Amino acid sequence: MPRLGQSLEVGGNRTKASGVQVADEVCRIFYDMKVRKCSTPEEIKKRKKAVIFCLSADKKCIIVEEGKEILVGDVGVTITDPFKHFVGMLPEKDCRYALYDASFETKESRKEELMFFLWAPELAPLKSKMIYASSKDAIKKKFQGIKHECQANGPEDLNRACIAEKLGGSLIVAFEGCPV
Amino acid sequence: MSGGVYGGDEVGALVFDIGSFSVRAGYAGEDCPKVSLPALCPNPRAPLQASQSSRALSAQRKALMSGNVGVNPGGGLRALQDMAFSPVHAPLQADFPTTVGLLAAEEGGGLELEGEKEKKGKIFHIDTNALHVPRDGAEVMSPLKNGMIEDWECFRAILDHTYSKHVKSEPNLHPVLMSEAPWNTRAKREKLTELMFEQYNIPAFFLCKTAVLTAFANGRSTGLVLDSGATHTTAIPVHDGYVLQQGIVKSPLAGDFISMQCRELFQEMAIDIIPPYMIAAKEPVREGAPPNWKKKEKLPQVSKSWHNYMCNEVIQDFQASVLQVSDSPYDEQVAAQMPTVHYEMPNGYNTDYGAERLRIPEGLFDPSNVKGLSGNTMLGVGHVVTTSIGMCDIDIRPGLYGSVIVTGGNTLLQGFTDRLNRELSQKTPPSMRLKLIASNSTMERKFSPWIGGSILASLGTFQQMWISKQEYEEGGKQCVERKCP
Repeated sequence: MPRLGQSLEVGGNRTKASGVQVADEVCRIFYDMKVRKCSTPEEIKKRKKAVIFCLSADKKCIIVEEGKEILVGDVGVTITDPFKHFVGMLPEKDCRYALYDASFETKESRKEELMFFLWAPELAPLKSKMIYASSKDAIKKKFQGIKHECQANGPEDLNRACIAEKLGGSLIVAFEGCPV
Repeated sequence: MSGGVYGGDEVGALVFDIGSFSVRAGYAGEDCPKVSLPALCPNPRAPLQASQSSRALSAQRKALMSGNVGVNPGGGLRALQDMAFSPVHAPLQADFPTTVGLLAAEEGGGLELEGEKEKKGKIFHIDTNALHVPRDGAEVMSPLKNGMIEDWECFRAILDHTYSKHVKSEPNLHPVLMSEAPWNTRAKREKLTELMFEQYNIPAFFLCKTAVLTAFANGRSTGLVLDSGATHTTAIPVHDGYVLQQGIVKSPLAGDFISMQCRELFQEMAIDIIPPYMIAAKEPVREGAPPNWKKKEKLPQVSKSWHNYMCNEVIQDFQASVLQVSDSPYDEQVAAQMPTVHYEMPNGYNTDYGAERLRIPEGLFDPSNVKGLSGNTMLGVGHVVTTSIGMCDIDIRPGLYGSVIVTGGNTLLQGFTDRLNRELSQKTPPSMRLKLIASNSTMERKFSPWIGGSILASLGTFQQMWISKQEYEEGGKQCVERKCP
């Protein structure tokens, strides 16, 4: 009888609590967002500003949600407020994961850093909340090196002040070009 | 996925959530019991003692209460009346008291009656119906102590009963997911694993901490779970799906404590607590008038512990329907102006309760004024939360304050969450955002670990996470430590 499920701990006792898999495309997108190769202006426009991930229909795999992304090139052209647009893409009654490339300013410098979101609104069905919350570990493990994580359970968790708080607290003077 | 041995969605896994007050068991796959009223034991026999309607109602009330039905606090009798006449659509659901009746019989032989299990001359009476029959010398006991299994024989009796009367199927056909207290010891986990595989021959097993299941069921992997049940109020910080053991804070001020306070109140007011089993007949009396009831003749010599347990049921009904937590620290004058609530005892005595309604549960939040506790440094519920968060790393505290999940049957007391919100808002450091998550559904508050376990066990992807029988045989009981962190 084939042995299922090798223990997936790496140097710790944590397992992927629900056993959900992460699609390769998800990892590839993360890698592209994280590593900024020197690129032509054309390539920069195609870089992703925000991506949303969801569970596949059979609930066994985390995949990229079709059409739910913001490209860097869109910002300033078709989209004026990228963060607001990003929040608008999140469903009201279902859970999602997301990556957002946040640009913000401290007194000293301007930075762009990736943020990982677990979006689990109260109105989502219980089963959905359960699966997304227990699989968060699985997808987060694929996103090595992410510094900022946000657990959002409603639109009130996603206002600019909260995000700025997560990025650096009182050091942040501007987020996405607008002062905080 | 190639479902492996356990067939993916047709697993038929069982989920057990064993608490000090009640045992919750059922098949995995439901995200909420499909009932129009709280979960009932499949065959609640409401023993109708006589034809008088008020007695019939109180008998039904007793049957419902002893099925550990979620009573709507403040809804009182009317809520129970509504529940009594609604249809039950529950698929397998078992929710019965963890307390069992124990009869150390000299004659071990005789009929095996429903709910009785013979073990070396000891007969266990399990589940509501069997437990409520007055018997000579039957003691009452619970297999749990401090939230962990202490008496394994008794525990086995409960499991046997669940399998034969509720699951009605062989244990070796169903994987089992059990919840456990976050502070469960390694020895007990291993012993439980051993018991399940060796004695029951189950095909697969998994243990999950109640706090983690509750957090997941609320869509969070990080948060502070405040669980106020019968025996304990505990604050358990969960971070990324992992319990932070060093931050767990426990307090004994919970449901049983309130019951004790109620008992003292009744003593002060010279009200006798007469459980329904003693009552043969009663007459309706005017408010505040002495009760007029006739005692049943030929009652068996029941043990003190059993009698106390039956009295506690009456008190718990009172507790759930009458008591209220005041939304600011208790004040005599304010309390005196609160509306009174009428309550009728099983023996017919009925009266209004006013300031006592608020005074009793105050002990949960402010134990300093409680008689018998002075000198003890007990923590009120608000302090339990803040202390627990205070023991965690400073970086994760905002995450914990931002997700305080309230769960447990005791939190259904009217006004509990509002008061808790108020207390925490005052105690939270100004830079932190506080968010209290308290489900409005009675079911979810009482059964959130069970519901979480049910969903987890039914996920197709979870099937690879179980400890299979083969793994147990190869790795021994130590594998539980590795596979169920």
